[in-house]
Amino acid sequence: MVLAKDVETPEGRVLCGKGTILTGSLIDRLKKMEITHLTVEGHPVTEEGEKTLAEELHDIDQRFSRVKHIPPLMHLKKRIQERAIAARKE
Amino acid sequence: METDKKAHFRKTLREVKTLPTLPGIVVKLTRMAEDPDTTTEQMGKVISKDHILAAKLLRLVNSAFYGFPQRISSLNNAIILLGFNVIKSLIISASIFEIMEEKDIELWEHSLGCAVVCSVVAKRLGISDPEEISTAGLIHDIGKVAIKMELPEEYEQINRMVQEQQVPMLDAEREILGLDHAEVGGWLAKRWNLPNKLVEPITCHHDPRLAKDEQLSSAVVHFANIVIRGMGYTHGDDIWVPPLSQRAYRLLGLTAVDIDEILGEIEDKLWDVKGFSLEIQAEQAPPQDNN
Amino acid sequence: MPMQRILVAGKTILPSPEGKLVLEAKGYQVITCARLQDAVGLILEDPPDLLITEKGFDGGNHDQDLIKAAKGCLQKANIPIILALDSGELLTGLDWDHFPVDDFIIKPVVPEVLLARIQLAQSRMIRVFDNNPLSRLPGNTSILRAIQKTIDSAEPHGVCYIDIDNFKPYNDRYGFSRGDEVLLMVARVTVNVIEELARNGSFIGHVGGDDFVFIVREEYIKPVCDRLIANFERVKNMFLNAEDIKAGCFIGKDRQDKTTTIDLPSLSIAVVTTTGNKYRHYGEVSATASQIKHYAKSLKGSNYVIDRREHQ
Repeated sequence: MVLAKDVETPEGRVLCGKGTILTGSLIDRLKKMEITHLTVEGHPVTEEGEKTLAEELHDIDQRFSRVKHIPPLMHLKKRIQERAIAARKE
Repeated sequence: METDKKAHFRKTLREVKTLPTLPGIVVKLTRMAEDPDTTTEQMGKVISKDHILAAKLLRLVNSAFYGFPQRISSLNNAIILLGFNVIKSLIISASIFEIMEEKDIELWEHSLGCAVVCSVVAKRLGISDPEEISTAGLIHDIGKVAIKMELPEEYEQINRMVQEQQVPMLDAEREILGLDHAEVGGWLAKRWNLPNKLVEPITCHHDPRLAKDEQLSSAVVHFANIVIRGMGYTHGDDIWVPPLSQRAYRLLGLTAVDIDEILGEIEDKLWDVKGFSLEIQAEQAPPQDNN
Repeated sequence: MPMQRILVAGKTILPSPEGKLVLEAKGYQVITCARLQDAVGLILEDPPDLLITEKGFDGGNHDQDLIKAAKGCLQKANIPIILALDSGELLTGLDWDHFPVDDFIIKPVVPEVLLARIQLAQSRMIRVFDNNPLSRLPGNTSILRAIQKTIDSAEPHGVCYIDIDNFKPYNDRYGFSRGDEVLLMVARVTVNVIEELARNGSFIGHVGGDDFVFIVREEYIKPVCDRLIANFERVKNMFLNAEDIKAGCFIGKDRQDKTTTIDLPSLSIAVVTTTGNKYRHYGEVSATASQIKHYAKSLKGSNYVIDRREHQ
């Protein structure tokens, strides 16, 4: 797996540059520094800021687009979208 | 669909030989097995995150000559009965994807996610053995792996049809093979002598009306599959949440409040899934030996 | 008689086709594997009747992995194992504790000699008498011998007698076939717990019916008994129907043949500790065990009792 973006500390210091090959031990070290998210090439992991909120909400709409006639699923969709919005605020 | 062709597919699928899993899982388990301090329980925890090894273990413990035919429906119990040495042998003999695709990881995460949702829902409903249902949730899509391994060309055609015509995978499977992965999964489970408690939820996870003795478990797996897909854990280009069976939903008896609370619990647990997934993907694949 | 299948693990054992033909002519089916993964897979899914492995199979310690897999094979306890070696290995000496095989043969292998060894190994297996036909665990003769050995040794051990409470009413209700499954389950759970927690210096035997005996060093008595009971309690529901699980009991006949409420099956373990020269003959151990067992069985649910101290 290859990093698709630099891994930075909250202060903006670059710990690992884009293009670094991820190894088990590297991930362990990053975990110890309390890094919890990274973006790798080819395996899209939604990182905060990676997709816009609008994009994420649109994705959810798309997913549920063929079950609009099923009320419990529409409720589920609403809740999932609400949680996506709330997560961004953190 | 000519009956010969369909019969041919059936025959091929029934004789599935290898089911490979992600290399990272096998690497991790191999390392654990070689560490003298590893307990069976620890290995069980890792195996319970892999739908392929779980299916293999269940198949082994339920096979006629072990003495418990069609009896063992929970992974934890399979592990207690098989023991460390047999599990170690299983890991040694496990096969891995040599060329791992993104879709393989997606299916793995989807299966694990489904197991998590099953567990949360089953506990919420106060079902006495939630682990049985989460085991069913873990292996519910085993039919898809069989189709990929035994009918790779048709598998490609199916994926292409989903992509180009924007139809659900289930429809593409029925069009190209005359059967779907739920059916295939159910046959495999029956062939492997798994108890009905697992066979029915696998067979009925898209159409719970087909369930007879295990209506509640089938309803849980059906619902869990929908929820996990709703949360984005899909497989391949079929991103659409499938329809919810009204009858199944009524059987579950969940209220809007239940759903809200379940979602919260699931989200927490899914962080672990994602983290574990990254860890597994980062493990170096073992070197190929060419004797 | 069904075709005997021989797994040959390694390419140097029967390098030429003639060797294989000699065996096949006598009715054996010979399967060759060069890789550990394939050999272990075969043992797991379709165990052979006999294993021949070369020392150094598939590089490094894989010969031992393979031997362990064959020994751990549940369906066919005691698959005879023959180890193929270079004569040089014998000169430097081999620690047979690391290679618990039944026979060895020197390379280059003379096919007729191998054939004779195979036939002898199989005949010897038939003479191994004493094992319980259901659980494949050692039977009475081996058990008494093991207890005597324990008494004679200096180190403190626990000789533990397992009894399944309410087994007969369970058997009556669910049938003998299911009853057999429960016996097998208890055997497997016991073997696995001891294998994991107390591998060294332990022994496990099956007297017959629902009576098992295991011997562990004193420091392992509690952890083994606790885990054994915990695992039994976890797995036992797989062998009961939903109605009985919910009720926590069922209607059946007690020992006096009276119809009454019967509790679900549980385990009672009577532990006799052997220290110093407390006992001299295995009969004495059995006698003490009987008293403890009587008490253990009177307690509700699964329990173990060590020489009159109570544990639940």
